[in-house]
Amino acid sequence: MAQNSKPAVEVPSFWRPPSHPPEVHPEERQKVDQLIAVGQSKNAVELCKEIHQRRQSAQSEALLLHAYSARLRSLMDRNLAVEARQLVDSVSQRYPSARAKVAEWNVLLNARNGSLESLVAPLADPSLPADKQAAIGLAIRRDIVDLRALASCSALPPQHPLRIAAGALWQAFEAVTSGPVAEEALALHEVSRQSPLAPWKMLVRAIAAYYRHDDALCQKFMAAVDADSAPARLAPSLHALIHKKEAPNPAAKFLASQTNGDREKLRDTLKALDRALDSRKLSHILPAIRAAVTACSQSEPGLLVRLKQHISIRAMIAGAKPQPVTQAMDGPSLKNSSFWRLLARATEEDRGNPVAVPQACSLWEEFRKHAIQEGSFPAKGPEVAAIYLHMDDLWRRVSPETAEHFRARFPAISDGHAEYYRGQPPEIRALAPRPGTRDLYFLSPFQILERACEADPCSENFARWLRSADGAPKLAGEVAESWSLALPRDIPPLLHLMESAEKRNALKKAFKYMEAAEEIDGLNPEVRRARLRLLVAMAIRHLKERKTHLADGELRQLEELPQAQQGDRPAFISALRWVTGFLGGRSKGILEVRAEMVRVLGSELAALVVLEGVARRCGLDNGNLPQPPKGVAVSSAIGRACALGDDMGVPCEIPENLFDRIEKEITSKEFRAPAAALIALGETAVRQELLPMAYAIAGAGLAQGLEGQARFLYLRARGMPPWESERRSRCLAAASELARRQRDSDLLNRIGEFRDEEMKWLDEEPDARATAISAEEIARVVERESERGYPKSKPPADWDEELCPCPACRAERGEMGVPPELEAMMEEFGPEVVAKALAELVGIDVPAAGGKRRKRRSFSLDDLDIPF
Amino acid sequence: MAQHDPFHILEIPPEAGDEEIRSAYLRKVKEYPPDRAPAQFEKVRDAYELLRDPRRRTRHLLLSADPGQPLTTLLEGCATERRFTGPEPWLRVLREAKPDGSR
Repeated sequence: MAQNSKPAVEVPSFWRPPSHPPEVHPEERQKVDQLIAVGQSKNAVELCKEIHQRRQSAQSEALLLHAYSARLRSLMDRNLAVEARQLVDSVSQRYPSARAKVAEWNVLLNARNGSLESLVAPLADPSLPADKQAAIGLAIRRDIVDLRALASCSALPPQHPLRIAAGALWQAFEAVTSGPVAEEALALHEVSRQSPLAPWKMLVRAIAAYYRHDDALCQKFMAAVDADSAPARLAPSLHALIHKKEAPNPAAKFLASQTNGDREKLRDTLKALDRALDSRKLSHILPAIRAAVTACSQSEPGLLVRLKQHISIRAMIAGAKPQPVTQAMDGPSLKNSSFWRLLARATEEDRGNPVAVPQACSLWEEFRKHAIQEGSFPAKGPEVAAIYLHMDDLWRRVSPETAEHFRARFPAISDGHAEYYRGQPPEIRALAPRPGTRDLYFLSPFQILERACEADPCSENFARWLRSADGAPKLAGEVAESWSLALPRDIPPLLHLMESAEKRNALKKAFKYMEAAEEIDGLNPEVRRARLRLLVAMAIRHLKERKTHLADGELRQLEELPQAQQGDRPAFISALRWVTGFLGGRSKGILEVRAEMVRVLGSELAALVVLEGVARRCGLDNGNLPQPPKGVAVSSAIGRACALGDDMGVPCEIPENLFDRIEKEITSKEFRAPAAALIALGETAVRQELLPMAYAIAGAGLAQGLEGQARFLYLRARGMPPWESERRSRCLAAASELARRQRDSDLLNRIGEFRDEEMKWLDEEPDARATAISAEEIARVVERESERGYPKSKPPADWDEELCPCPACRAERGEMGVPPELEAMMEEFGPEVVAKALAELVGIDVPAAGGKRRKRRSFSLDDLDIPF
Repeated sequence: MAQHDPFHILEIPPEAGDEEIRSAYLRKVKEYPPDRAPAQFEKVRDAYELLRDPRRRTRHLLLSADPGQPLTTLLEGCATERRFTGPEPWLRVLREAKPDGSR
């Protein structure tokens, strides 16, 4: 009853499908529809006016009103409210019969302006036919933007589902645009799928996803928004926001500037600051800093801390004083770990500054402390160790003398970076070094590496620490002990301790270390070889002491070892047997032993060289080697003997009287020799400081083919004159890359050690070692080195030959000779007596009285006149 | 510069932990399978190899800091801040824009 008493409400019908009067010509009607469909509503109106003028019928007027409807929709879509209102007024005056239509348009225009009552009022009637409900719903879906007005629209009862849905959506819309919102809060059960406001639900969720930086989800929600609904108007703007594209209209531009900040303006100010810093003019730099800091505060406040840190460093590099820069930045930059890292990097790049290395290490120490406090990594672990290793890398840039100089001076010239801690937050100031209690460990590479091993006790770090103690046997022993304690299953520290004991002639101790290594890994080839070499060393010691019965015991043990039966090793054992027999006065069997050596080595000369080496180590003078008959391949034989000597720890020597024959052989185009023998021969040449010979052997080896290329390239580098540094670097880089591919860790270590020595000599940067080299480049290096003869280049004009500390130059300058004090002693007591006394002092072997003196002399080939 | 940065390649922040690095790697491998995008896959694998090892990761962290880098590069890889504005700027677009975004 109550419903019947309600006044009848006029239902707008503007979204019903248009029904054209049939009397109008179908072609004309079709033309009008086509124009409307392609968005040319104005032309459609003009055409209809012309038709109506001709026909002047009710049907032509209806067609004209249809075109006006389309025109009105077009104006409303373009937000041209004034033009739309003028159009409605004009139609109302010209066509009084269209009153009903004009009333509908007014309802729509009012709704767009927020007066929703007349639009939604019919919905208050539950008996409203479904098609009319749908028409109103369509209008709401397409045109209603003001959810707040709809939620409080008095034309509908407060419990009406549309008002409730609008209220919930407005609340959610306000929430997602004002702060983070939990996903559950956006369930919006009040908005059904059929509701004309359903697209708003997707829009609200899309905006929430946008603020969560979940752009994929945002786009997914926007794709679910009906294309002809009011919320769809946000799609292009959101797309532009996500993809940082140009905003499609002023409103979208405004939205972008509000949400993203004005990034372009910030970019421009940063460009200007970059230019000012490059100009190094304070008058340009300071205003540019102010502008950049202001722009950043406005558009990217989250970036301000980083920006100020970078400005501090760049200004420092540009030579600006800190005080005005700090003022221009409106306060100092934050001195957290990021700042210290940047400052340390900037300092270490200052290669012209001699104090840069200790200063950079000091700054890396500050970085370490702050990074740990910030929780970037734990106080101990591989991350901290990586910082220590980097400090050690930096120290490799300076010579030991320079390092020592700065170690002594640094405490006086460094105030612990006190100026950087001024004006900092308490948690940062708490880490400021206290005067007088500062730990200056970072000035000592040895202590740095000790800490690296504490932080990350791995084999690589201990190996590096051990290498740093090279030249200080006691320290190295302590490092090896620490290594063995930290990593009891590691073999290298035990082998180091064993070798160290062996050098001190503490063979029993060495044996214990070797046995400990055997317990860990008895099959390790290094360990197996160590037992062999130790037994050889013990046998030689007993032979030197003429205790042949004891040496017999060791020889028996040696002969029982399976590893002693491998390769040429039986020949070496035979050599020891020969010496034992000779010293024991047992002539019986001596000839057989020697024949066995010849049989195993396949050469009388090789057997003689091995025998000479063993005899010399046992204190016997074996006399000069006889010249082998013509046609005997001297290089191969001596190389094979040298390889065996190296293997057993008793290096052989290249006989001096055979230098010329070797030279002739290796320069011959037909020369061929086994790669292993050539490599051993080259290594021996390097050891004897016969560098041009080593160079020639390497060239011959490279010319032979692929086998042993890495080792030959290394030999080539070793044999080069010191001023050929670039060529040597390429050879080493190629050798290193090949060794890496072949997993030849022994060669890699030797290359590393040689580079370290080389850096000490030539003051080269450690970065040079990191030069990468391709397979093609390796092939080019090999080709070049196998063709080229000994460098004919002269030392550069500024080459200070007198100061060149390479062995070749030192030998040439006579620096490798005997000190004058010793020379005087030798004159008084004789060289053998002095040598023996020295040997006892330092624990090394020396030929017995009357034995052959090891003569250090250069290879006979002249460095600059070698024909190959 | 950022193109070669392993963090940039895996799209993770520099402070990402082991788990996050691994997840990012698996996600990228799905995106660039070796059979379909071998070059991209190689980049992703190299980036992962570098970052999975804490020693190499830290070394990269130390050495990748470039004190001389142009200040404009600070904006690269820096996620645009999205500020909450309240409903008004959003409503303005809804009121003023046509469904296709133009005026």
